[in-house]
Amino acid sequence: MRNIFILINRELKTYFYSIMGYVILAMFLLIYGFVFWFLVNAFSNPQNNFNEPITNFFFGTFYYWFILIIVPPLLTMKTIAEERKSGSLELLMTASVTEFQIIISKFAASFIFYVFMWLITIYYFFLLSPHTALDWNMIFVGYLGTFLVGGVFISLGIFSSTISRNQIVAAVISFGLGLLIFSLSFISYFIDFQSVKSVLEYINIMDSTIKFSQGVLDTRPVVYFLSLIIFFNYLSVRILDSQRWR
Amino acid sequence: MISVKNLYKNYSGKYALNGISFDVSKGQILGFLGPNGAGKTTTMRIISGFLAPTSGKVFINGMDVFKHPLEIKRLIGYMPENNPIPMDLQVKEYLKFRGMLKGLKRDNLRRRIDFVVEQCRIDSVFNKLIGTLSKGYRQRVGLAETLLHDPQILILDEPTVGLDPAQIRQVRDLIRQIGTERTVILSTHILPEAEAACNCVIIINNGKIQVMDTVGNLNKIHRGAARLHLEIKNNISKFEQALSEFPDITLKKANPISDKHYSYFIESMDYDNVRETIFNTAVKTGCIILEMHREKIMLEDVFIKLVTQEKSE
Repeated sequence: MRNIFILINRELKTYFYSIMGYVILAMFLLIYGFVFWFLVNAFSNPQNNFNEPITNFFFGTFYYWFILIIVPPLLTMKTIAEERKSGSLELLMTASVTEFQIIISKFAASFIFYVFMWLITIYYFFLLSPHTALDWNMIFVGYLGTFLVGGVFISLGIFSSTISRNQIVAAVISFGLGLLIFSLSFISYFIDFQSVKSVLEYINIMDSTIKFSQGVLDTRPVVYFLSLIIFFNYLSVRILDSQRWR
Repeated sequence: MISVKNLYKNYSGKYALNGISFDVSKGQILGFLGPNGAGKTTTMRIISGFLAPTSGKVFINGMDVFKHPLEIKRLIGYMPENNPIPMDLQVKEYLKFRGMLKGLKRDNLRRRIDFVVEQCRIDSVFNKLIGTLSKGYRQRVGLAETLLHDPQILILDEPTVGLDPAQIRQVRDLIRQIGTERTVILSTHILPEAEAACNCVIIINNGKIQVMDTVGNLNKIHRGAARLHLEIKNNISKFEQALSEFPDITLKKANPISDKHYSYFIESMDYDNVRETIFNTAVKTGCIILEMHREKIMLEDVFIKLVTQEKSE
């Protein structure tokens, strides 16, 4: 456990000591600032009559999905691939740490950065709160969903980085796989066969995330997202471990 | 201390190691010599537990490296090829990070950092970013890192590659100093380096051990003929004639320095007597010996001989 904390600390430094972390953060805030401005404008226009709370849009615009699919590959592409390329993976693996500790700390560091990124946007709701009634429960659940679905894409990104030597390749793989998994959501709309349809509905990432943004805290998507995170991290550990046998 | 038994390593159908076995005892500095691609790095990676062999076993202090990876890693300080230390940290931060990862805590960590910083003489760059350091300093930071947890065994993969001669000497001295209390395995393809730093040498080629011996023994065994360099003056033709009567001495003219002043290479199987014979002959023929010294046959000759032998087979 101590090793994991040491490694997370080191990984976080790679985000905060380098320009990359700040560029991602700045671009994210720029885009989300725009989204917020756009939503506030739309809501304050008396001609529009929205019956839904703002969280439905805040965690549900096109930009939201775009960021969800683009940012995790950028955050994770370097993690293992870069270390393997420079040879420092060798240095890491010959210290007394296990493959599990390496993967879990890489995942945790990327996840913490991702969470940090989103937590800054809570400020927008504080800006709104004096002017309108907000359902903080709904906001909390919306963030929870964002973190969980982000965790899925981050673990997928770590997995992609584990199987590649080049960080660009890692980013492309995790972007491609991420988009594919996300698109699996749509298959359920075209299938009539009931038993298959219910399975596909269960693995529908988009609908599950939308539920969170509506403030519905259902255990099924929580379990589903957590199992995906565990699954991808497990794969990464196995792959990292298997490399010594090649 | 370290016992390597019949290692084979297969990289996608091609054997990089072909049955390597050797033992290293405590306090030895073992040099791994071989051309590029001979299997040096692979062997070292297997000993350090980074790679698994296709077959064969490695024991350290009687423990199987693959059954007790964490215990073994605590015994070993390993510096990989090209010394891949992170450029975005300060020396201080890096040593602290690695020390903590190696299980050192507070006081002990501070003490060990102070110790390795002093031993590797990196105190002047302690607060600098590793990315801004010269290669010699980076190498020393890498060495300092391997020493942090006071390992019994050091495995250094080409520790002096890419350094200038002064830095090579510094690093080599450092290794020799470190090696007084520890077992060191280092790889190199530079022969004088192995000769200067190691007391035992393994020459490896095509994944096989060609020879394993002490540096002194290797020189003795493979010397073959003693080779002398000789410079004489006066009565040269007489001297040459007189010496030609000895069948086991061959005389080769090197560049003439002037009409009366010549230099020669002399080869003989009998190193002890040949010098006397030459001296007596010179006295008899009235020659003046200006210089006579043994050409030191370096490990390089041994190495080239072994490696090319292999090719011609």
